[in-house]
Amino acid sequence: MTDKELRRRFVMAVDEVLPPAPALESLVRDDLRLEQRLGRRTLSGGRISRRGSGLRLAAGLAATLVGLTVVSLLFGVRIFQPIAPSHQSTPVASPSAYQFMPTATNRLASWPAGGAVPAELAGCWQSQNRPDDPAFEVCLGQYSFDVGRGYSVGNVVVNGSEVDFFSDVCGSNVARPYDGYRYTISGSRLVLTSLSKLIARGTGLVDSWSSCGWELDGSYSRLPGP
Amino acid sequence: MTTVVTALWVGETDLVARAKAGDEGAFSTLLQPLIASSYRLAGGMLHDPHAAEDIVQESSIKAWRKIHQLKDGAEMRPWFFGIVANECRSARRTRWWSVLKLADPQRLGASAADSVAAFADLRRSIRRLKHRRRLLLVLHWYLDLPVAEIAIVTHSSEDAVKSELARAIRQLRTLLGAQGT
Repeated sequence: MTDKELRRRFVMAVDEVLPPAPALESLVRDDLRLEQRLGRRTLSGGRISRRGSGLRLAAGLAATLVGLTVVSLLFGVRIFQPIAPSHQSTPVASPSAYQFMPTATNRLASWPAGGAVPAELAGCWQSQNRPDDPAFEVCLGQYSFDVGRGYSVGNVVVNGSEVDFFSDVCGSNVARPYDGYRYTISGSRLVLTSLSKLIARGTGLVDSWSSCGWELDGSYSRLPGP
Repeated sequence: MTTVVTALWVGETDLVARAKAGDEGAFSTLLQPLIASSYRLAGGMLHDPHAAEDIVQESSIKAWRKIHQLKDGAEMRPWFFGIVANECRSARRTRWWSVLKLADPQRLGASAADSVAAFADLRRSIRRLKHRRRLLLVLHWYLDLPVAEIAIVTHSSEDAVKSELARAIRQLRTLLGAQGT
């Protein structure tokens, strides 16, 4: 294939997944207007400063306090009553509420070598980088995994301290069509370290193993079961 | 390092000065012609239209906050593309499932699925390139930027861009070969 042909294909490959975004210009314009209305930026000698923001904040707080006092006098509401724990507070989404159901109970011959997820690794884990975001939840059980509460699912096998994630997105024409991680568990903390990145370091490839592209490296904390 | 890339269009210098002084209208005028190409840049890097839109929006706000850092006489486009490229790098680090999202043809609708599958291997190979090499290919092949301007975006010399581009193309061929295409 000539460079010209490769370039043509490159352009088509990107074009295929990139539809026009006609609303983007107006979105950006709105963002900028909002940014300016919020007064995040005043220029002083070429540097960004927050001139007078402290004064404005203090004035705003004072005005709010005066307003609340007037309302309380009018309606007999006690503002400064002690705050008691409320049993009717807004419910916070609990990551543990998710019912992860492993779908693969037996391994197939075509899978990478390895066994089922051991008990110490089984269950759901929350990324410590994003502790409140269910999208960063990884669940493991038997031969299945689930990322982001069903956002992506696939199979997994475990070899000693190595856990391999794979699915049909990984491609089959590569030497190792899965994402391998070394895992360590300490109490309720799980650490996943990408084996491919460790090996690929210095080779010029982001990932010399697979083309799955999951980047699950990082620390996780165990989520309580449902 | 870099020769003249493109002539500053009439009034750009004035608009930059006004934007630096806090004129949001001037900044929007500078930015508006760059939105579509920035979307293509982010899309070429991430292969995800939603992420690309997010990147352009975030980059626009960052550019507005950092406009005072744009050197006098410097062009807006390569400077802004540099911000977009950095945002793409950050997005790839934090959004660790993004590649998987792209690999799912169901997200793109049944009619597009076959066509999308046709270039899936190529996209997969592109995504396996390191950020810098992918960036060079997207800037040169997809946005059709001249080497001199790419050198500004990537803060490197034209010679370095040329040799890195050659390496990127070689590597892309290798990756494609490994996938049997």
